[in-house]
Amino acid sequence: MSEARGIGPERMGELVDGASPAGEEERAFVALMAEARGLEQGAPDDLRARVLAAARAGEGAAEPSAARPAAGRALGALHPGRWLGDGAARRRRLLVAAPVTAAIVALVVAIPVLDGNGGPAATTPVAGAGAERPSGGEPGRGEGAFDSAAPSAGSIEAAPPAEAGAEAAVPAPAPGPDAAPGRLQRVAVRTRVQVEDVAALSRASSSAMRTVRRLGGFTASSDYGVPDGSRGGNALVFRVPVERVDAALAAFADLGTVLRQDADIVDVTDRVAAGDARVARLREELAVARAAAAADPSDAGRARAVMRAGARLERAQAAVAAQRRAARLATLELTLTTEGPAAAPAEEGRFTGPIAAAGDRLAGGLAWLLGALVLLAPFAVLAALAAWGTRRLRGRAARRLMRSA
Amino acid sequence: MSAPRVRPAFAEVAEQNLDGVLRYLAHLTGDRHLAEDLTSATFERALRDWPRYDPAKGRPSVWLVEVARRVALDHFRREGRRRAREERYAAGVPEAVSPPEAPGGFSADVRAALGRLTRAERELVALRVVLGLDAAEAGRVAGMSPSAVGTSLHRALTKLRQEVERP
Repeated sequence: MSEARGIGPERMGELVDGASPAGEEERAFVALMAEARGLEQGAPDDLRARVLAAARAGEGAAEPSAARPAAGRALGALHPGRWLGDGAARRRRLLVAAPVTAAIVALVVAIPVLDGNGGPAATTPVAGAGAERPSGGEPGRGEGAFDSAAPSAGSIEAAPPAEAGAEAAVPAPAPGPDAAPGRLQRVAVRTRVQVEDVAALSRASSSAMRTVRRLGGFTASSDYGVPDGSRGGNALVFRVPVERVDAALAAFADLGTVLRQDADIVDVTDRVAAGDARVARLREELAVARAAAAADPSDAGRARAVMRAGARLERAQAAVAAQRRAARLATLELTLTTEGPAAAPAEEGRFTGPIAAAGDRLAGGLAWLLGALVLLAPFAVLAALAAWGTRRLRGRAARRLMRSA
Repeated sequence: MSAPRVRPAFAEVAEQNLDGVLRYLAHLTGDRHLAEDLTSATFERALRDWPRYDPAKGRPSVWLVEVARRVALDHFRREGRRRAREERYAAGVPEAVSPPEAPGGFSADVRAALGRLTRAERELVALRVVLGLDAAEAGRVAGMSPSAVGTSLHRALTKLRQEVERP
C-alpha cells in the first residue's frame, strides 16, 4: 500500500473535489470515495416526516423574527433567553452572572458613597480677587458674606476665571468671606500674591505668619524656595478662626499684588444638626436601656444593651465634636511668589463662549465616559478572559472527544 | 463561493439537508440509530436558532452541520459523564467493551474500516467526501484551518484505504 501514500494532500483534495484521476492509484482512491459516498442511505421516512412536520410547524414562529427589521432583531438580541440558554447552561450562567452583577452593583453604589461626603452640604467656590462675587447668597447672611449654596442645592459652580496679567492684577484687597451668622461652615481660601523680589518675599512671609498668630490662628505649613536668588516663592497654609478670615485676607492683600483668590465653603450646619439630633436620640435610647437594666439587674443581655447604647452615644458625640472643630478653623492657603501672572486669556469673541462651553460639556462627557470605562474595564477584561478560557477548554474537550474512535 | 444573501424558508432548508445531516452524524457517531436521534435533535435546535442564522456567513447546509456537531458533542459529553458515573458505581465489575459500530449502509469492508477511524477522521471524511463541503467550509465546522483540513483528510483517507485493504 505504499502507492497510497504517493498521493499528496493537495492532489487528494483535488480528487475529493472532483478532479479526474490519473493512474491506478488515484482511480482506486476515487473508487473508494465513490463507494463511501454512494452506499450512503438517506433518512428513513418516519424521521423525514417527523423533522419536516416540526420544521413546517415551527417555521411560522421562526420566520417572523427573521423578517423583522434590524431594530427588531437588535431588541431580540437583548432577550435574556438568548444569553442565558436553557437547562444546565442557564443554571451555570446564572451562577456566574449573579455574583458578578452583585459585585458591579455594590461597586457602583459604594464608590459615590465613599467618594463623596455623603451629606447634604453644598460647596460653592467663589473666586476672583475683586469684590465681584456671584450673587444669590443665602438669605439672612451679612453683607459681603461668602456665598454658599443652600444645603439642598447640592450643585457645584465653576469658579469664574481669575483675572490675570497686569490689567488683571487686583491691587485692592479682596473682602474676605464672612462666616454666616448662626451657620457652621468649613471654609478654605486660596490666595496667590506677587511680591517684588526675594527680599520682599521673605518680609511678606514673616508678616503673614505674624498676622495669623495675631488673629488667633497658626501656621500649618510653609514651603519656601528661592532657586536662583532672583526669584522664589513660599506656599503657606494657615488655620485661622472662621470669623477672622476677612481680616487675614485683607492683610494678605497688603503684602503685594493679588493675582488670584478663590474659596470653597461647605455648609455643615445641617450635618451638625443631624448629628445633634442623633446624639439626643441615642441619649434617650441609653436612658431606656438603663431603666430596663435597673429593673432586672441580673439580666446580662440588658446590661450589654446599656454598654452598646453608651458606645454608640460616645461615637456620635465624637463625630459631632469633630465637625464643630473643623468648622471653627478656616484653611487659608497663601502662595507668595516673585513670578508674574500667567498670560492673560484671549478676549472672548461672539462664538468663543458657546464653543468653549460646548468644549467643556464635551470634556465633561468624556471624563464621565473615561470614568465608566475605568470602572468597567476590569470586569470586561475578566469576562473576556473567562469567555476565552471557557472557549479554549470547550475546544480542547471537543478535540479530546473527537480523538476517540 | 458566494454565500446566498436571501434567507430561505427553514422547512425548505430542512428538506434539502436532512440526508446530509444524517450522513454526517452517522459517520461521526458510528451508530445509525443514534445518528437518527441526533438528527432529530439537530433540527429541533436548528429551528430554535434559525433566527440567528446569517446567510452572509455561509450556506445553510454548513450552518446545519455546525449545529449537528454541537448536538453530537453534547451527546458525547453526556455519554462520557454517564459512563464515568456507571464506572464509579460498578467499580471492580468487569465490563464487556464492544467495539464501536461502523456507520451503517456501507459495504462490509468500508464499514469496518470507517469504524476503526477516530471520530475526527470520520468527521472529515463525512464533511469533504460525503457532503462535498470545500476545505474552508469543512474547516469552519471542524474548527481547523483549510490547510489543516487537507492534511488531516489525507491522513484519514490513507488510513481508511489501508484499513480497507487490510487482510
